[in-house]
Order: sequence, then structure tokens, then C-alpha cells
Amino acid sequence: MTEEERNIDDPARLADEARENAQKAATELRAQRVPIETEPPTVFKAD
Amino acid sequence: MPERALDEARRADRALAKKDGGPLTGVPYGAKDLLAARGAPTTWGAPPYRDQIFGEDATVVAKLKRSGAVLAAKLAMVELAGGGGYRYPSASLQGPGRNPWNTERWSGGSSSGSGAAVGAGLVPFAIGSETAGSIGTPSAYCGVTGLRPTYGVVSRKGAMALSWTLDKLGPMARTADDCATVLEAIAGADTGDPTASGKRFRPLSGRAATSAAKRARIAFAEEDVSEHASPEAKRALEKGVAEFKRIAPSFVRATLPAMPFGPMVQTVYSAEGAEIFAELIEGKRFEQLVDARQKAGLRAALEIKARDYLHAMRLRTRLQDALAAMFRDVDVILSVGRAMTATPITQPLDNPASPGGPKPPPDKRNLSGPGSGNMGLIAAGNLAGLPAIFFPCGFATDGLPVGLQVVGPPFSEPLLVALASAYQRETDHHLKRPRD
Repeated sequence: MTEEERNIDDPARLADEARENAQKAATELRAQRVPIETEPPTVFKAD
Repeated sequence: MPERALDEARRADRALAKKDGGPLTGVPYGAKDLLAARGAPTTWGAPPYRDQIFGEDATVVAKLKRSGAVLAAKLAMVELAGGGGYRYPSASLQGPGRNPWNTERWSGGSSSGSGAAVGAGLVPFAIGSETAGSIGTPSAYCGVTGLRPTYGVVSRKGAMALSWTLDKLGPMARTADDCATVLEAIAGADTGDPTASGKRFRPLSGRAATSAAKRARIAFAEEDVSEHASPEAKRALEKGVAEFKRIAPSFVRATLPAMPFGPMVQTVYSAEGAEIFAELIEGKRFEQLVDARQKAGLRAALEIKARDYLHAMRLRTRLQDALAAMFRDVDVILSVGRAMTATPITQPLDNPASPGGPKPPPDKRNLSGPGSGNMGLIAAGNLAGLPAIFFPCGFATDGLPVGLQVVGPPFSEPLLVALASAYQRETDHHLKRPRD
């Protein structure tokens, strides 16, 4: 069976796709340089 | 639930008889089924939690009770608010959310029931939640007004968590003014939610609101409509933008910074959601979830690396800085609510790589970079914790509603309400109702 012929809701295919999506996102994120002094955001507080 | 509603209604009757009611006294509403309501089922839209009952009210529900509102319904939602990424509108214990304008179309997610119930006129307002579009999408698809508050303005105590750093609760109603009335009741400090900002909400007075709307500098990118709107939606969106320009004429071209909004928001809510639901994911009840793609997404999210999560979080700081700079030159950003109308309830929501599969929705093709305009506004606004108001602006050629969104800097809800309210005073799109 070719990749295209596998059911789009086949759990094994979905698991592969989910891992690939997460990896693709990670690759795109890592391509974005962040200055070393940048910290994660903090919560907005009222003035 | 019926006993509770009747009890709250009787209490409202007594208050009204003594003439000490407020604007919400006796007004029925629905709460997305991720909000705890004492003694009522709170299923989170997910089969593993079908019998879940909490012993106390969520802060939002308790505040509305104190305001005299009557909890008339818990409203259906996408299971676990869509955490993991679902493929079908049917990803819910309650089945697909049906759109009141065409029941073969989806009502949007994950606040599916909140959008449908308000759109159908079953309740005058509902409470929805948004992690990355869950108030905006059902508001746009169902032709209602939705207000996503600044992160931290509304306490999330007693609400299911999908993403601690992204989740917001907000009202969905027929008008911007109704949303403002509800937000006034539910905003504010809460010792039960350490992320609550402590900020109250007060709408601008009539004259100040009119003046603020006229003076507001509106960032807009024409390609959001000209290039990204679906053929069915384009004309109505163009007309809506032209109408908006009449009430707030100071348009300037300005676009979001080029950043990978999709991967950022996906990584953050996936990593946080997987940790929140780790016990479920690794347990026997997990297979009860409806949507196979969502299950695969949640499992995969357990493996997201800490460095990638933290990198996405640090990029959020950069995004906040960039947007703060943008808001020195403009007051708000105007864009489409969604660039397309509600999809068929059987249509996959992603873009499965199968022969003959549906094309990706126009507004999911390109969220950032050249030609993308401000199509990444839902993702960027949520990542930066910014408030947004979504409101209907007409009907597409397929008879379904379309809408606009306006996003502002933190705590700019009064201006957002003023703008949408001014628009709704000059138009009647928000008054249209589906036929029985």
C-alpha cells in the first residue's frame, strides 16, 4: 500500500504525521534566533 | 441544572421585585462545558469526563450568579478544547456543533455550543474560552459578537486548563455592548487564579466612546480580504471594512512582524496541554476520545522538547515587544474574523495529504511573511495575550455570516468595545437571526 492509499485516519499514519508536525514546528522555531537576554514573558498586571 | 436555573430565576425575581437588580439580573446564559458549575455535569466535551461533577462554581459562574444572571445551560464544546489538534467537527462528546444558519455547517470551535446557542437566539449571551481562536471562530461562523479579554483580565479558576499561558475566558453575545456588560461582571482580581491581573473593566461613556472611535488609528492590510478571503466571503468582508472605515476613518497600512506564529502557538499549547493531560494520555480512558488525529497529536506532544517549548516562549516575548512598538503608531489592528464561512460538518479541518482531499482553508495557508498581511492575527494576538473583539459584518454568497476582528494592546477592551459598538449602531448585521 502506498502512502497515499493509506486511510487518512489510520492511527499509525496519524502518529507519524503528528511527530512530523511537531518536528517541523521545532525546526521552524529553532531557525528564529533569540538574543541571549530574552526571557519568557510574564503575566500582565494592572498599573 | 433545571433546579439550579429555576432557583436562580426565583432569586432574580425577588431582587427585581425589590428593585435592586442589576443589568444582568434574571438574564439567562450558557457556559461552555469547561466551566465548573456546582452539581452539574462538566464534561470538558470529552467522553472520559462524561460523568465529571464539581462541587463548586468556577469564579466566572460565581460572579455571574452574584450579578443575578441565570445559568440556563452548559454548552457543548470540542473535546478538551481541541488540545492536540482535531481533524473533524465531530470531535466532541456532544457531536459536531451545528451552525444555526445552516445545520449542515459547523458552528466553529472549540466554543461550538456557545457560538451556536447565541447565534440561534437560545440565550442572550454565553461564556466561551479561547486558547488560539476558540471564541473568534465560532463568533465569526455563527454571526455573533465575541470578546476575548486580555490574558489575566478574567479569572480562570474552575475552568479546564488546556494551556496555562494562553487560556482566556470571555463573553459571546449579540452586541458589543452586551459583551461589555458581561465582561464588567466577570473581570477582576481573584486570589484563586495567580495569573489574574487584577484589572477591572469599565466601558467608556457614550461621548468618550464616540470620540475614541473617531480618533482611533486603524492598522489594516488590504490583502487580508483581497488575497485571503474565500470567493464566497470576499464581497461581504470588503463591504464590512468599508462600513468600518466610515466610523473610524484613520486607516494606515501596518502588518504584524514576520514570525512563525503557527509553530509558536502549536508548540506552546501542545506542550502545556500534554503535561496537563499526561495522566489521561497515558491511561486507559484515553482511547475514549473521539478524534483519532487529536489522540495522535496529544501523544506526540508529550515528546516536545523543553528547549523548543522555551524557545517558543522566548519568541513570545519578542513578539510582545514588536507588537508594543506597533501599537505606538496605531491604536488597533483590523482584520477579518475568519476569511471564509463555516465549513461542512463532515469536512476535515486540516489538510490531509490524500488524493482529492479538500484544499486548506484560505486563512490557514500563510500566517506570516510576505503577502500574509495580518492573517496571523488570531495566533499572534493570543500569543501576546492581547484582547480582541469579533463582530458580524454581513453575509457571504452562501448565506452564512462573516465578521471582522479588532485587536488592541493589553487592557484596551474599552476602545475595542467602543469601536464595535459604534459599528453596530451604524449597521444591522448583528440584528439578523436565522430562520426557524
